[in-house]
Amino acid sequence: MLFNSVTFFIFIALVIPVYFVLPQKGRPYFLLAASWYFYMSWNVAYLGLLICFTALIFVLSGLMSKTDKASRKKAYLVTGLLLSFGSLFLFKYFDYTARISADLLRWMGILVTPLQLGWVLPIGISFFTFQLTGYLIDVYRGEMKHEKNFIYFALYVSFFPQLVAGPIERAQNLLPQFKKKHSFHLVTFRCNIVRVLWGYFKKVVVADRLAVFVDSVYSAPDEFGGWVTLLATLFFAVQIYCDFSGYCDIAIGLARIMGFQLMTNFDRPYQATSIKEFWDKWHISLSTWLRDYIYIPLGGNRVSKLRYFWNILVTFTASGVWHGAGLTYLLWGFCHGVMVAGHRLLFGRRKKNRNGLKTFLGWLATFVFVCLAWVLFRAENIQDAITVFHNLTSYSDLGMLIANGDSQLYQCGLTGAELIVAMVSIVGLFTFEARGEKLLLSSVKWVMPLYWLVLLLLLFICLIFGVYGANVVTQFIYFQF
Amino acid sequence: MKKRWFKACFSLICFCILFVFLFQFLSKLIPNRDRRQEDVWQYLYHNKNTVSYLFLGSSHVYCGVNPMQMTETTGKEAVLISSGMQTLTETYYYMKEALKYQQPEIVYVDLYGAYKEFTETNYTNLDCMRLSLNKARLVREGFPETRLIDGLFPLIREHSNWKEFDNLKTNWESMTKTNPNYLFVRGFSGIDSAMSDEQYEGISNWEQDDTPFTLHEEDKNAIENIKELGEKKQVKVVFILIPWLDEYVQKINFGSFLKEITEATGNVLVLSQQEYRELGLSRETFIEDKASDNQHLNLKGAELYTNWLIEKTVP
Repeated sequence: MLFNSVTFFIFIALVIPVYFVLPQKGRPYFLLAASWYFYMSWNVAYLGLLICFTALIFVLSGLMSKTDKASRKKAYLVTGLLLSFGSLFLFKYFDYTARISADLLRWMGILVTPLQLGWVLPIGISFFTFQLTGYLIDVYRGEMKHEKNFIYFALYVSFFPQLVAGPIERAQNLLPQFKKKHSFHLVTFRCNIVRVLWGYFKKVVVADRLAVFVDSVYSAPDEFGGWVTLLATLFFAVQIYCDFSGYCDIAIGLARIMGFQLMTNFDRPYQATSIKEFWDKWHISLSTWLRDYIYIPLGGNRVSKLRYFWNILVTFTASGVWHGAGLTYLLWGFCHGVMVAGHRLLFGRRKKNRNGLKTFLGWLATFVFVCLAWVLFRAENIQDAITVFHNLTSYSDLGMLIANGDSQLYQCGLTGAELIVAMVSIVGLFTFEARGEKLLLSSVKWVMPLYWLVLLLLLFICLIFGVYGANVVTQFIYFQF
Repeated sequence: MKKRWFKACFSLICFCILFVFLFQFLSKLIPNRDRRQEDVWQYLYHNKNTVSYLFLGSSHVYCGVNPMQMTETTGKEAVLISSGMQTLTETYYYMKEALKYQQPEIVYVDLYGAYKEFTETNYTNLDCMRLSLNKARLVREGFPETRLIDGLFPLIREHSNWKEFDNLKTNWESMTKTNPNYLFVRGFSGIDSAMSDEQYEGISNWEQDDTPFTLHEEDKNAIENIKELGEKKQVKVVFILIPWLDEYVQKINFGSFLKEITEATGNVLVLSQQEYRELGLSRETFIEDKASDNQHLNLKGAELYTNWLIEKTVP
């Protein structure tokens, strides 16, 4: 049940009113049933896996809270982590690791056939695994009390707006909210409907439309020249932002309509003036999880300089690996680690420089690096990534760029006029996003005609310009992680 | 508190009405529609009980029957409701919809749709129909479940292509001005080309296929429905088979097909081989069309066939 499907709209149109009509006692059960139904719509077997994981961590955290012995607590923690990450490894990384190992052995002269499990990756497994293990670690550390009510706990794991692609919620934030009574507030509804529609706009109008172009280029990168590749690189940077932040806006908006506050996952990341700042603004739930459960336990910055940089590299490489089984993801994470470490080496803990030119240069350098790193993220394999980087070094195809007929751009489905419209729309999008949260909150004060105008505009722009249909296969990028 | 809720509900209702109104308006403005068929349906809706001869079927109809010629000869209006690969199920529902506004003397139904395995309803005439029960039923029967909304609401059909909105200007003109040229055309295509040697030789080289023909259950049901509808609305229904290229007919088990459709309909008006020759039909009266099935009459062929049809059916 994709967020941009008719089935999901019907689902939401039923779930939200019923949720508010039900008495408080029944709401957690209803919400859990709805969330499980939502997850089951992909595959019934996935639900079984989710329930197993949930029950396992619930039991382990319960056992942990009942014992005083540190060794026992540690044993439960290690068991939970091994089983969770072990399952994640089997579903997500085993086949790739087996193939790489077989290739390595073949290179050494030992012929082996790699064992392939061929298991389909359960949707959202990376997200709920991190959520569950984060909870278990918090209970172990004593930062969180074990939740005795299985319904609330299961709901914390399975809450449908954030189940399949985050934000990766912390139990301290989300769990208590399920125990409170939430009433329907028209003001909240008004504000967050705009947020939800804005999320759909970013996803179906911007991200999926740019994907038409990006997919054309990345499916055969050696057929395109520098200018087209450069456009594809820029477009992918916009696509992935709009795809993921669009999903988050929908998730956060729907949750808030029901009275639940999910954490912000994006804070204008492309306005960052340093790579460190970028990671403070991009996929915040993941970066804070990695900081709290990998970086800090490794020692953080309270260690020797060498160890400190090592910690940064490990954390970011883990981030890359989390995204997918592939050398490109690993390299992507590693490159970001190198840049963050390098930035700290060069600039230390310097405060934000208020010099306009330096700020601009900082922004430009950050944006360029991030876009180039996205090449690794998007490319199917290392070879394609190298081809794309190579294309970016030569720009002899300008004359063919926006001509009709046989131009490369036209083959990607975009004419000159459409290119201008796309660029203007992107500038408009980021201009709006710069004031995004304030503007959204101010929507409650808009007079009714203006509010309706914005709603109808967003609705019809999504309906008319959105990329969807029976023969169109689109998916949120982060659903595959 | 009660007043606030009442105000909120009232606002919601007004918003929904506004949305529906805008949705309908934009549905007319934006999606690409077949101009020829759009004008036909507009004519049918706005000129009640003026059509005497109604033709329905696949592309064979809009190539092979000249409605203006019928009008000139008989002095009565003739109109075609046809589209590429139109199924008999579609034909039934279009006929049902048209008969809500018209009372023709004769309804001609071409049966090529029974021969070819057209599986899915196409949008050509569907989009030109008003939203009605007939349209909903046709969509329900003619589309898979994942495409039901597509069928009913062209505005929210696929939007994956960059160049979909080139038709805005044309659609605006279509909404704001009547196009006398299209009105004159009455759904007719009138292609003026003749089969090339290359295409003709291609057909001549086809292998003989004597596989017996079996009428599909959906087509049998559609034919039954059409007959019943004709009886109910007291209109004469004439099942026809617009001529196919004789060289092609020789290559297939045409007799088997003819037998099946005659059993289903009771009577099919089809040219005999002698009539085919006497009429002057030949490869010169079929269009050059490598993309399709090599069976479409050209302008000359349509003229000849339409004359024959008038002689045979119009008193």
